[in-house]
Amino acid sequence: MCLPWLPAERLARQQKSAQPEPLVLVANDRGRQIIRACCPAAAAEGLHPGLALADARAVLPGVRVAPHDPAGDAACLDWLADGATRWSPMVAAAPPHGLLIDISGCAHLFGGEASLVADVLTRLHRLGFTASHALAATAAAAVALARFGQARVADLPLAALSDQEPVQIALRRAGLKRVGEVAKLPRAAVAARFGEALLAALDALTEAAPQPLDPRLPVAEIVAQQRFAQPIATTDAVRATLEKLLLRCAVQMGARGVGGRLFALALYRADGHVAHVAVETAEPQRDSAVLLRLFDERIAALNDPLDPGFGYDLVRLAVPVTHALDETQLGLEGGQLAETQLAELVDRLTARLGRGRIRRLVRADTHIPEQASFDLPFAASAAMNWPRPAPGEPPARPIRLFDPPQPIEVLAEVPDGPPRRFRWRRQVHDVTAHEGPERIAAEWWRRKDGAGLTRDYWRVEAADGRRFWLFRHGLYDREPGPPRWYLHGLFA
Amino acid sequence: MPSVARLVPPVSARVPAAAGRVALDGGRVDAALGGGLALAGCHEIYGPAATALALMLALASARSGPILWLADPRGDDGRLYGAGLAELGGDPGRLWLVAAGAALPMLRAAAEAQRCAALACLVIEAGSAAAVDLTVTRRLQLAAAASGVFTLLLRAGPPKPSAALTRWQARAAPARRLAGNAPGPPRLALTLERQRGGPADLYLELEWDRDRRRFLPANTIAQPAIPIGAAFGRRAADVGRVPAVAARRTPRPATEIRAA
Repeated sequence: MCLPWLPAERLARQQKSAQPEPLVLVANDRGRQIIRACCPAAAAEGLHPGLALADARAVLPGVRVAPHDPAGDAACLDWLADGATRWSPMVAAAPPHGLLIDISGCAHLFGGEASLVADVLTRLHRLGFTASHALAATAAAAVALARFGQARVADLPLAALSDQEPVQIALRRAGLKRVGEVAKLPRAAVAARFGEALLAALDALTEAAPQPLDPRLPVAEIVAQQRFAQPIATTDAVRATLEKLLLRCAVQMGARGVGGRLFALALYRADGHVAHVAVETAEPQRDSAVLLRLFDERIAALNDPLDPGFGYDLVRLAVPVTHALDETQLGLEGGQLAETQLAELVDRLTARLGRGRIRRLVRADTHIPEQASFDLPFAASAAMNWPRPAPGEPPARPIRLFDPPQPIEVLAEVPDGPPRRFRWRRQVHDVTAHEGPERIAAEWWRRKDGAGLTRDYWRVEAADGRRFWLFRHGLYDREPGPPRWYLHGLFA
Repeated sequence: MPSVARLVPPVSARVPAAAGRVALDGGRVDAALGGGLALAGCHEIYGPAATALALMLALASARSGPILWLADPRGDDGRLYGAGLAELGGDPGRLWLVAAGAALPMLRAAAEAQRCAALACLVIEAGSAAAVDLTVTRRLQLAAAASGVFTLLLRAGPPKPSAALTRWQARAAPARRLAGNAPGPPRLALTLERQRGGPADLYLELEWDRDRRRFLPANTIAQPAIPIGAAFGRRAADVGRVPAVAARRTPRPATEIRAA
């Protein structure tokens, strides 16, 4: 599919204006306003991209002008590509104007290639987009054919091979006009004269080296979908459909002995919009009742509630991530049951709060306290072994850690000695007991410059019984700058 | 330095906690609570040592399974530190942190978690959230009683109306002194401010026995005598020179220790 007027039509669609008034989209280029895109009406008057706006106004004084927004156009193309997954799972956007749909093996579902193309064009037209199309064996060829409106690859102009002006001029000077003529030449000579890039472009157009399509979404092996002649719009209907699809997916997964880790529900609205809802599980899962409840949670927690508009005419459930899952029997002892309950709790909380909200503490092999222990998302972490503290000793590490450490003012009897009094959060604490220093050097073996200050940690108890973890950053006389004090953690 | 184990009265002298309860002092306060702190219930804790008490209670409950910690999004007391939890005798891998982001999602997550009996403990760090009112605490208490999930509600003071089983004020108490004037194992000063259908306004000081994951009443642990005026700058070598003083010390009531 090629959508040559995408930028202008997107704007017209946004502003809901249907008048055929000429419109050009301009961008600043070195102080001049240059036309980047225009609408068919403007093109008919002789305006074209690359023209200065002043020249265009001379030709057509009443032309409407709007700023060009390439990011918005790309987003719009992505949105269209999303909607195009109704025809085939293999869909890719080919910026700036192209939309690639791999229909191998899909066309018969829509009554043949011709009716599939007609369906695509009708739906795009309803959205307000004019499209030209081409069917070809390779993606590059399809884009080029649709763009230049040719039927055969050999008839394509030289611009299909390279959009660089010097290369095109060089080809033209050699007396070549069409891609077919270039293809007939000896390959070695073409490579020597025009470069390897041209040969690669030629191969992509012919079937010599087809470039695989890079689909927008990963293509799932397990998919179930339901089409509706009459779009469904109520929550109950969607839920009932989802339940049916979950059951069908469960049958497929059971046959393969796998369970899903990710379930992606796509709701295709009749007007081209697609809503996506995904649910992730911690353990492979194929129990439709559990999954239905997870979807309920997820849908209830959505920031923008599902808006069915005029209804959904296609609902598809895909399982892109699967893991081996054997038929299990509930363990007789409670262990298995507790594991299952916890996994379900994690799934429900993840569905409700979002990914990465449940975290587990992990440790790293370093002496720097703030890096030695941190939290990671549940899915990315595993249970680890922690060193057991020596029996009979008081805790050497605080329960809560400030990251970054909080600067404090400290009074000590001797510069190198323990703190005697310190001020933290506008409150003065008198130190009644202390232990230290525990010296932690900067990790000079990891840093190239070998910089970093030594820290002397003190465990101190204040007069009111609170215990703090303080450190002096830097050594007197041996390290640059006067040392500063910080409060790093709170004990019980 | 005598080890903690030798200073504690023999186990037979401590009244063991009833089933489904966690022992605190093994005596007066446990009796007032009906044999220990009930696990199937919601308890409210506030004060500077609330985090420590919650972790210690979760460990002392000796239940298997993870500790689900619903973290306060507006807390400014630093993050929970795994190495510190390991130093309290817990397994940091068992601590699951949930960052709900706001009070309402946090309460919904709490309701979800209270249905899962496989949890060892659920800690809700509510802070000063206005959403946690009498109705919410009643709901938490009912759910905890129904499923048996040990629920701890950490709040910022001052106390607000609540339907929790008990309310505790937790502060740090001065610890025993070890050699070299080092602070000893963590000690907490707890006040039972409220108990539904039971006596309240009880004060107790507990020391945390990390190695056996239990509380010890502070007044049964002998306090080594510290010469007056020697609080600062003591060296480890000095401590060994006062055996005569150490031999004379006797267990003293908690109030006296606090005054000291």
